[in-house]
Amino acid sequence: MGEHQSAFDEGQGQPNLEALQYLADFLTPTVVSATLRTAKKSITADATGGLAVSDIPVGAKIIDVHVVCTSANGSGTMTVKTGATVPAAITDAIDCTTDKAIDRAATIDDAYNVVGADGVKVFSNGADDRGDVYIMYMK
Amino acid sequence: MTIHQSANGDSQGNPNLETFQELQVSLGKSDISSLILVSEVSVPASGGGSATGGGIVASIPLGSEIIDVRVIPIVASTDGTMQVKTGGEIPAAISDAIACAVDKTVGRAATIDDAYKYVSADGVKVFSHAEADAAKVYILYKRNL
Repeated sequence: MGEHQSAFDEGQGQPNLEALQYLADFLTPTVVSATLRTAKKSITADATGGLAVSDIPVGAKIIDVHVVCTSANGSGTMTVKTGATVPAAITDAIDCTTDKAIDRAATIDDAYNVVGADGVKVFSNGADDRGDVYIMYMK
Repeated sequence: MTIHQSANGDSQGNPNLETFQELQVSLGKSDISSLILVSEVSVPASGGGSATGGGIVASIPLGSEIIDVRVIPIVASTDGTMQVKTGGEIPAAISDAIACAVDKTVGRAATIDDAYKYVSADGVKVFSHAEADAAKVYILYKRNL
């Protein structure tokens, strides 16, 4: 129970139990599970060999991806794949050729969109492709 | 310290510590950071949201990262657009001008400028093309805690 130990700071006043009751009533595990989340991977270096997305948990279900391109680069794309030794594509190759342009996944493969122990990686088409990749998921 | 005093209603039962422990674990800092948050900005026709009207302020916390924008027009307006910009004296475009010409037709940002997508002290505003443009503008953002 170490992680549950109090870090209560009296200097910030007493907890408002009414507020806590409200949270208990409305932030149920079901509600928490239903919230849409996003993991961001900024591609600032060569990602042709895949760069791991660190903040997406095992079991998360990927439901959408979009890319905000941060540099122009002809033929640039970003693809979200599994982190396996032989990666499997989760999305199509999302266009990333025009600086500032938002491009969205056209396909999500339901055979691979639940994050496994191998995790998830972002692969670029070219070594100079740059962009912020936002992976929407639910737990 | 009045605002922090307990308003616990015994009739509603005592707080369930197990539930709070669950929340503490399931809604940690990284979880909160991962949540996609939305700011809704209502732009009424002739509501001062036009490019000449100075824009309408969006309520988004300092330091947030804008990741997408959606526009739902509530009237038809030829050549109508909505654009998200910084709130400075000389606003800088965060998104492109998103089409807002056809009632009910959802428009999505085509561009986001990474030079301005982090909310600064100037805040964020929505600008329309003309006074007649009217829409609900949804700005999707995340907190980077």
